[in-house]
Amino acid sequence: MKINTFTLIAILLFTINSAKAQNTLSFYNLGDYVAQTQNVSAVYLPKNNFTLGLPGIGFNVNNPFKLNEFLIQNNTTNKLETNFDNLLLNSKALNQSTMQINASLFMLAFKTKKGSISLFANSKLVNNIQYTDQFIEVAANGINNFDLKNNQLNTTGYHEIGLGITQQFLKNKLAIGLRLKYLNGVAHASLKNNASLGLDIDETTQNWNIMAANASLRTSGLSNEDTSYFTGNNGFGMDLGATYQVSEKWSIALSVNDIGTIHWSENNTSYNIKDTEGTVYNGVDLNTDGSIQNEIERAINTVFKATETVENFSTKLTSNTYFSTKYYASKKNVFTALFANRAVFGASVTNYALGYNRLHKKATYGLLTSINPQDKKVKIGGNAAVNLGAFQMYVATDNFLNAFKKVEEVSQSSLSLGINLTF
Amino acid sequence: MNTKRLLLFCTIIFTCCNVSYFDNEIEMKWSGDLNMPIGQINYTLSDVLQELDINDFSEDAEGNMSFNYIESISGGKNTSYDVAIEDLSFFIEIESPLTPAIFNAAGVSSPHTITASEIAPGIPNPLIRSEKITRQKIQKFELTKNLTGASFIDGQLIIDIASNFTVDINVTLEIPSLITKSGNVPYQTSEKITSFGKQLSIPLENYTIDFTQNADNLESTTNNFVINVTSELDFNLGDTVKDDEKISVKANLTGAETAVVYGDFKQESFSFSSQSLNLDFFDSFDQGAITFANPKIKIKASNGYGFPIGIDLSKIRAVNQTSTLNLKYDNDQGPVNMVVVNGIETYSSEAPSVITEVIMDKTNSNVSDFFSLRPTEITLDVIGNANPINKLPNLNFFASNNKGFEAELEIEVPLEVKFENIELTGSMDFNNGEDIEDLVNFVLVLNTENSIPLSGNLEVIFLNNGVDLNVSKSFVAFAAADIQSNGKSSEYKKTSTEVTFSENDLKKIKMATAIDIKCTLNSPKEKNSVKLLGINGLIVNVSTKANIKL
Repeated sequence: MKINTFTLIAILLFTINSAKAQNTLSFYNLGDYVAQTQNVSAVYLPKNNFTLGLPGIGFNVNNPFKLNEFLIQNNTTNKLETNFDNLLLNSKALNQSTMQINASLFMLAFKTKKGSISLFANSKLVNNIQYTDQFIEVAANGINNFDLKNNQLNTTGYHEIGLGITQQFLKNKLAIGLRLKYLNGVAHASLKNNASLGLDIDETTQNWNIMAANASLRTSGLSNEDTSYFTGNNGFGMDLGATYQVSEKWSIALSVNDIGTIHWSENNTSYNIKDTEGTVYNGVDLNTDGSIQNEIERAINTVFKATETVENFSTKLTSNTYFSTKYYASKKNVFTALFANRAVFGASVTNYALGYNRLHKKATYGLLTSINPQDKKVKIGGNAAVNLGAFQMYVATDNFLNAFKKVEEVSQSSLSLGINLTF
Repeated sequence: MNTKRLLLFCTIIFTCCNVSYFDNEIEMKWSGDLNMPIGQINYTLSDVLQELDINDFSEDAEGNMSFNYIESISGGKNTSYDVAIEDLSFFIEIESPLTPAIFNAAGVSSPHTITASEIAPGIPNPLIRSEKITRQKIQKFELTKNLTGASFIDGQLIIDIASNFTVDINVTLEIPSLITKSGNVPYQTSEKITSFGKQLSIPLENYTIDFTQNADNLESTTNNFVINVTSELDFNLGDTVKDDEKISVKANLTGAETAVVYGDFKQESFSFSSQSLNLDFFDSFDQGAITFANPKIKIKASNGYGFPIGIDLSKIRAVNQTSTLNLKYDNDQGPVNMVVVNGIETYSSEAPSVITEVIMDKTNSNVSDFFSLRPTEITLDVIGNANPINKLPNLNFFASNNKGFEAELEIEVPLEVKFENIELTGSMDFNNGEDIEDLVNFVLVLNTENSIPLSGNLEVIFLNNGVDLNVSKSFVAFAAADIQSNGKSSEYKKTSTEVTFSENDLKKIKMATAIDIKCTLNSPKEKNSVKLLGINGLIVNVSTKANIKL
């Protein structure tokens, strides 16, 4: 079936109202052409016999604001000046910011008779922030009454080293992929679930009435202590995937990634505010020989009952699930419907996308439309992987337009790119 | 799309990422509110006074406060009252009654040995007789005071009795001026005096002296010393007699020292050591009027002398920078402006000093005006005299070993006052310009709770090297607490004040080098006075509503 490229684009734009896109969705569609797609789908049936991945990078950023809405360039000094008011202006009641960076440090993939075996090493940073407009209001307007709830933070940086196996069954109709990963935590910061902090300021006396619950920030690896590349924060994880060729035209695939836990036992500090339903801070005794500023700092610490503790803890990775179905219109044209799910702060973030890829022996390229369920903005992405001799170059983005924009002008961006040696 | 185009597409994607934005330096800019309590100062009135370095106040169990000053006044040397008994000598003779005429009548000449009892039958020999002859000597002491008595602790009275009688003579000495301490009877002795005579040594320490003795027909007097000498003459047969025989008595009083002398010291002046008293309390106030409702001056005098002392208060003056006011005291019991300090009435070496307390208050003196003058100094040019009430005679004594005169002037000024725009001022260095660099505007919020029945207005003046920066702020810092009928405050009065410093104010304040603070205190206008208690408190809660720009 020969489909005009412009027709395809028109179809995709037409269907965008019901489709939702997620970062790395377009990268997902590179599938068996690129060994690094195992990071989003464990099943890998390589097109090449052997792939040596050179360091590559993939990142996804979803922010509720553009960078130049917060860091505004002063035309006189050319300095980038922080502007919290602008940030507040662009904030909704509840805002989510996510950032995922996946640095593919090493990838070695062998094609086997029934699938593949791969060795890999990645460094990952997963940063999920959920903040309310009240939080930004405090940052923008200073200390006034506030009631900070539903603010969440979960940031984890870690290394993963692992082994992946894909094996075909049922006359090659079913392929199952499994990746086992040793995890080594580098840094972590997370707020306790349901953390809240409230401040009620008396209009007459300005006395503070402080309310706090579960206000605890657990960190690891954030102190100034020198740390080696590998730490004592060990963990184990796995990725699972399966594809099934339903018919000549249709196939389905399911992958569950980043199932695992890291036990943080090194360089940990927890910052805690004791639960209180109402503690009053009314200042310090001004009749003191010492520094009033020091007295105030000490008193506020006392009122907040702020403590620093050292305790070990475990965190789960942010898992994500992909389910897709492909329709092979012809040997060279495939349509993909993609459903993705990611669990963030106990809530499920679901995404949808429709994609098209042109398939060649040494290359593939395609388009993908997606919509972010939060902002419902339409994004058009694309991917391409091309082999030129032993070199393979791949690139994928979920938002074409943003890929060409200046970094400060985008709030959402994704890009995965790298170079492999393929044989 | 062929492979070359695809490669070109990939290359464009690879290289299109423009991150030049981050070449620019990021500068933190922020402005926002900071509404927070700073703290509180909790002062009692006692604390405030201590802050003002006023320490001369006391507080009773009910919290009533008063300023107290105590100054001692001691007696001067006053040596004139210590009357010395100078040496005294006197002479008494008792001549023989056998005068030449008697010898002639006996028909014999002197000397003659009586051989016959009769010079003729039936006519007894006139030379044979018994006779008692008494002579009295009244000697006046030349003393500086009219003394009526004294008690010796040293000295001697030596009496030499000489006789040229050929017969032994019984001589009786009676000294009514010399009274034994043991028996309280006049000195008396009888001696048989031979031609060799006799010396009597009388240690005076065993005697007191009564200077009032006089001749029997005269009224008692002062400074007199009386001695009576009686000789018993008994001429018999066989005695050889002469017409010039006599008994001579010579008395020498030497080295007399007294423990006490008695007499009338009239209204002789009594000197005191002069003092002056600085009143720091009033130094703390600059302007305004203060009226004390019930100040008191108590004089507590301890008089170890045997005579009352009058203290003339007319030279006690309240002095301030511009005027002077003499203390006036109207005492029903004595002369005007005179405090009568009683003395010891009966001498005893162990007699305690007599304590006299006199209180001068608004009922008998001008002390209210005296202290309302806000004196910085009270000069105590105290003068006085003995026997301020002259009794004619005055029964006084002076003991050489005395407890002297001490007086304490206790000034008690209860803080029952009326304040009219009394100003307290203070100044402090200011070098916190950098600390307020980031403030856009600043509202100082003062919430006070005041149980002092005084209102306070604050004026804060910012100065640059003495030059007013014209950003002074004047505001009611605290309102006066309501008072009860007894003049004491009943409860805390709340006041809330906001003092706004604009951005322009803050720019000027950044240049300040000093801050002058003036606090103007007033008692409620409708009240004549209010009672200030040490426990009266002022709670100042300081908070801020600031806008900060970083």
